[in-house]
Amino acid sequence: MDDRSLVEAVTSGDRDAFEAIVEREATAVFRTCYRILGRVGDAEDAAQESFVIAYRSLGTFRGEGSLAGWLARIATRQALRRLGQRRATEPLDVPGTPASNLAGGPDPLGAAIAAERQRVIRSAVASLGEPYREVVALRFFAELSLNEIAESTGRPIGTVKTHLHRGLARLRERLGPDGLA
Amino acid sequence: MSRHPFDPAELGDGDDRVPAEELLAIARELEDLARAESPVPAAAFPARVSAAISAEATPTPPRTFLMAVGALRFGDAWRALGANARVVAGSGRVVPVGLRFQAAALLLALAVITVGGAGVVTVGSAALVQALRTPPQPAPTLTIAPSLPPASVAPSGPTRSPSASESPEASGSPEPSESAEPGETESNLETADPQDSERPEASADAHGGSDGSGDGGAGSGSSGGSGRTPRPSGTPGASDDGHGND
Repeated sequence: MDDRSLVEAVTSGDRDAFEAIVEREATAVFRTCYRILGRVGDAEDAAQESFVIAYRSLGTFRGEGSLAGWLARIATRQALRRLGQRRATEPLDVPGTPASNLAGGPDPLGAAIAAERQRVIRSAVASLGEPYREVVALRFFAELSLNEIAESTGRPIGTVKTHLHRGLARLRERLGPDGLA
Repeated sequence: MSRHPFDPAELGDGDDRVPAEELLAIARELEDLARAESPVPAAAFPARVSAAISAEATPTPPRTFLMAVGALRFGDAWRALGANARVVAGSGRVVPVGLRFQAAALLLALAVITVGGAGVVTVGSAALVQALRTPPQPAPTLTIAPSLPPASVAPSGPTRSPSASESPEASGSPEPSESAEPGETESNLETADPQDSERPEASADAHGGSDGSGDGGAGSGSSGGSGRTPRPSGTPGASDDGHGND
C-alpha cells in the first residue's frame, strides 16, 4: 500500500492502516528523536507524541512528499521542542545515556570524550536558529535527502541547500576549530 | 551506513567565511553521531502508540479542517480544505458516503459563508462610499436649522391647533341630531306613515331647518321638550310623541 492509500484509509476510519504506518516508520521516528534528545525514554515519549500529532493532522497530508519525510519533520520539531524544555541536567545512571555507555567499555576515556562530543554537537544544533536548525536536523538526524527535505518543508531545493550551507557554517562557528564550544 | 551519505555538492550558496573543508568536516561529524546513535525502539512501542491513538477521534478531513481553524493554523486548514475537496471529488480509493456527505456539507457551508461575506463587504463598502460623498450637504443645513425654529414655531403653532379643533366640530355631532329632528317632520306626520316617508323627509328637513333645529334639538332635549328627544333608532316613536305633545 502506498502512502496516499494508507492516509486515505486512515482518514476513512481504518485504524489498522495507521498501525501499519507505525510499524513501518517507528524505527526511523524513534531514531530521529533519540539523536536529538540522547535519551531512550525521552525519545520514546517524543516519538509517541509525534505519531499522535501525525494521526490528528493526517487530513492535512497532501501526498506531495513522502509520508516518512512528513513524519520526520513532525518528530524533529517535537524532539527539538522537548529538548528546549529540558532542564540542563544529565542523569548518570539512566540506560541509553552517554554516561551509561562508559561502563565496561574497552576505552572508557575515549567513550567519555565521544559522549561529551556528541552532547556538545547536539546542543550546538539545538541552539541554531530556524530554519537552519530544522534543515540540519532533518538532513543528519532524520537522514532525509535534500529532495525529501524540500518536499516535506515545501521549500525550493536551492533554498534548502542554502539553509544547509549556512546552518553548517554557523555550527562550525559555535563548535570552534577544535570541535568543542 | 547512512541512508543518504553527505555529498559536498549539497552545499548551496551560503556563508563563504567558513571554508568548504571545515563544512565538510562538521557534516562528517554529524554523520558519525547519527551512525553511533541508531538504537531500535522497544518491541512494545507500536502497541504503546496504538493505545495512545485509540482515544483519538478519526482524523477525517472535515474534522481536521475544524480542528485546524480552531487552533488558528490556517495553513493546515487550507490543506485540509484540499483534502475535503478530494474526498468530494472522489479521487483515489472508495470513500464512505457519510464522509463524502460531511465534506460536501462543509464545502457548501464555506461557500455560503464566503458569498455572504463578500456580499456584506460589497454592501458595506458601497455604503461607506455613499457616506463619504454626502457629508458636504448635511453640514450647511445643520447650521441653518438653529436660526429657523424661533421664526417658524410661532406661526405653525396656532394654525395647527384650530385645524385640530375644527375637525371634531365638522365630524358632525350636530349632523346626527339634525337628521333625527322630529320637530321638522310635524307637517309630514299628518300624512301618516312615518316609516315610508321617514328617510326622505329627514333629509329634506336637514336641509331646510338646520338653522334652528340643530341648536334647538339639542336645547329642547335638555330644557323642556321631552317629547322631542332625538333618538336615531326610534324616529317614528319620537314623531308620535311630538303629536302627543301637540
